[in-house]
Amino acid sequence: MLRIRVRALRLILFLPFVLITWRLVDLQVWHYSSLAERGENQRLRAIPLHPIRGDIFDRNGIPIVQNAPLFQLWATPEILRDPGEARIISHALGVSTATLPAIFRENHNRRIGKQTMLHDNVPYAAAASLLSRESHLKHAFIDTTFQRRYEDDTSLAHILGYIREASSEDRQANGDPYELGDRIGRSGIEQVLNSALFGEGGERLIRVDAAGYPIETAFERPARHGNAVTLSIDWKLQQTAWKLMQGKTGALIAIDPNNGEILASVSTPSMHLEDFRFRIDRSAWRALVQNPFHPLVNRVFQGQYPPGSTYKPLVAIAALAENAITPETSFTCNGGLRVGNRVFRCWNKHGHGSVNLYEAMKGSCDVYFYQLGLLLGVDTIARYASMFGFGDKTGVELPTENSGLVPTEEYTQTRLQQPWQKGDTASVAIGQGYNLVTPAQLARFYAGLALRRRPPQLHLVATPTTEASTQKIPLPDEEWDVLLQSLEAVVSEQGGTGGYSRIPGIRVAGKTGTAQVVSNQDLTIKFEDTEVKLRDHAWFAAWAPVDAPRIVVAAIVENGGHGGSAAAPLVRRVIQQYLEDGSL
Amino acid sequence: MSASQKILPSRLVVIASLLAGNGLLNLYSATAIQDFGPFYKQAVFMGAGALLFLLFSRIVDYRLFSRIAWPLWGVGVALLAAVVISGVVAGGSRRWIPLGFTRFQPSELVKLFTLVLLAVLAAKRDRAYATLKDLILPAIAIGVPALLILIQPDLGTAGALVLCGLVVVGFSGFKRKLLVGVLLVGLLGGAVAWNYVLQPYQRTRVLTMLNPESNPKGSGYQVIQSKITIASGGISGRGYMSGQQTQGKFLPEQHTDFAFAVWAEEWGLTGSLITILLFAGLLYELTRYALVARESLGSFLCAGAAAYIAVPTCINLLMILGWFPTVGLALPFFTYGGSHTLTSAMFLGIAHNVYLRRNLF
Repeated sequence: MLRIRVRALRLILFLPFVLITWRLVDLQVWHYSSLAERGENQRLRAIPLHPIRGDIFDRNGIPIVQNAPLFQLWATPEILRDPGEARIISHALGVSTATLPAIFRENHNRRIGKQTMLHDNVPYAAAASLLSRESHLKHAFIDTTFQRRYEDDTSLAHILGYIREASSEDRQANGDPYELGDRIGRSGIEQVLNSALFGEGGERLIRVDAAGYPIETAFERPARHGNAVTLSIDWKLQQTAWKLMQGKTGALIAIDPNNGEILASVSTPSMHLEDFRFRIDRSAWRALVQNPFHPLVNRVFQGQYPPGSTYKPLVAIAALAENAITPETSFTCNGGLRVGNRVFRCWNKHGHGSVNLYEAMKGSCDVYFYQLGLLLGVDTIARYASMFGFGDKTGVELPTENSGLVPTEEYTQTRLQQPWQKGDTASVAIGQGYNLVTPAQLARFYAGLALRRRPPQLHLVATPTTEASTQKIPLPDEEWDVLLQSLEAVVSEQGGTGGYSRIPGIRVAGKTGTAQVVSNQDLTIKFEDTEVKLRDHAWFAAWAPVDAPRIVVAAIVENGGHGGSAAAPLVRRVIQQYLEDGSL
Repeated sequence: MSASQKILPSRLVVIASLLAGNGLLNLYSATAIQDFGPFYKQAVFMGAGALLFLLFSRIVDYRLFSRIAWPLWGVGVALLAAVVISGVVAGGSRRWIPLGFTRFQPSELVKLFTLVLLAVLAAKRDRAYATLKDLILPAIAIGVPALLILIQPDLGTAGALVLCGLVVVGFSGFKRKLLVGVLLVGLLGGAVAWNYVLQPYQRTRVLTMLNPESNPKGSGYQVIQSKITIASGGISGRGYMSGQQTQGKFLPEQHTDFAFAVWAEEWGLTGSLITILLFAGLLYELTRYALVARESLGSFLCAGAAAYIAVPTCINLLMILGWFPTVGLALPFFTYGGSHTLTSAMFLGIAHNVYLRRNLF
């Protein structure tokens, strides 16, 4: 009897142990991986490791953009309930603890999980004091990242571009490339070469206790720092060009004609990249956007202007190659030419008399080129224009570039809904009318001229493999000789329009241009009386040395008046510095 | 007693010592991140427990209890009443009497006294319960202290007392009719208790056990962390002092209610099962004592001791495994605390006395 009762007692007492054993196996074997991982996740806090952005150097290894440490303060709202920690944080920020909730609200869109970035640029001293008290901070931490440090944040601003904090869309892109607080290129080279410059983010997993205090580093995948980029820019030349363009609105570009590398590129007015380092303040941004001179626009690649007389060599090449003329063919200029029922004037109202190619180029005779235009037709000119890259992007490593406009008969018929007129061809032949080119395209064309072939694509990044184009232009050497001699005469001979670009000891060839702002300009108004906005844009494009071209420079000064006086001296100084410095 | 029996310590002593060793070792790890205070105190409690075990197994004759069972019970009830009137409040309930260097939880002692009284009553009767009238005295013996403990309020201990009492009463056996009646009354009482006796927080605990994820930060937190901690041990464990849930303080109440989760994380399934086997072995020995006792009082006392160990052990383990509502019941040998440690030692001493006296009179 007792034995049975003891058995019953054992049954009742041991039954729960069966359950307990079953449940232990259930948790520790069957649920081990899922629950252990869940535990691991709650014990780890991920801290992004920001890669150091690649430096940017000029072609000679001079640093243009480097990095300086940047401290960001992150915290969770729990610091508001921890008076000690709130005091440390508000002290470091230089605010009262009462304003902390407002700071959280202000940054509500800069969060990773519970962490909010309270400050994106904690001053060095404050950051140092916070870092030294890191062990007292359980709800806040200092994240060390990097910011751009510029040698000069304005002269090359359009080319370099600015970097901004990655947006949430950026962060959600394929492969989660960025963490909150990462900065990525938003324009210029910083944008185009972002993936190389950025590198790859890393991660540190910190083991924390239940209260959030760090215990140890559990895992670390270091960031892969960004690659340095060497630009084709010659920093000293850039500085010279920048200084020359001060006080002027316009653009200047210098390239190596042999490979299309850009040596200098200036667009004025410019902006300060430092202003973009953090959230640019509203008024500064408005000032940039509303500035009538559009400082955000990179005029070298985005500015589209009629090329004016700088276009004449192209029309000459077309006429020679099409056998419409020979170098000796002459036309008489009486100061104007009637086309249909309209008279097209030459800039020289007294007329050039009878001129051949050499004389017409040197004196920039409009009537001569009206005649060529009428012989060729606009579509033929367009064909040769495309051979030299007009109407196409230059291929430069920039996110935004305009391709200009090469007018054709079809263009006016389809886009402008009006028939092409012979007079339009005359305008196009002297680079006015519907023609639009960027300064970069013009420089590229002159590179082609200088080397007597199709021009190379333009580059900002110095790459040893950049190959020059070898495609020939169908023109006999003797004719090229005459054409290029005429362009040298523009600079070197008495009566040439580009005399201001003459450099003793260096053979320079080039062409002036004047892009009309008001087409029916009354020539009786003298230059000084013209309202600045109505003045013509002054062009000059040139290369040197003539026989072994090493540099091509194109410059435009908006509302500068005549190319020969406003733009040619700038070009001369740039060429001179490059060649004389280079020869040292 | 023969000479050979004297040389080898009895199995119960070996098993209890091993369990106490487990518990103390575990407490050292569980308290390592804060301070070792509870560890040292528990070591002292266990030393004192060993002395009490010797006192009650070798010196005090268990038959003494048949004479003083009612007075002891009366003293216990009085202590409980005193606690209810003027005890120390901790964790929202009045459970302790301050004793200077520590505090004393009389409900544990009352459990012992009640179980002893039930054993004495059952032994006097020594046959199966047949009518409800037979159950009046046991019902008073259990009901009065249980209600006083419930008022504290300490649902866990009250429930454990009732369950232990039922085990001892049940050990007498029931006639079938009475058993059915009692079960019906039990179910009815349970329904009433759920609606009118249980505090809202206690109901929340029960519901939380059914679905802890419904409130992972609040009432479900402890159970979720406990399950994660136990599971993290895997088969072989994280290693002593290396439980990351424990050392990171994610596991709550790790030196008290959830101490076994620490053990399970650091020693894994292997260590857990060894300890479970030790508990089972201890209960096996106690029930064996009940079987070999010289007379029925001894049997009932041993059954009482087995219930005293088994009920909180099972409830605590099922609770930390997420299969029982969160109640504050100490796990014998593992949970830090003097009252239950000393009381367990006494009860084991009494049972061992029964065993030692099985051949003597």
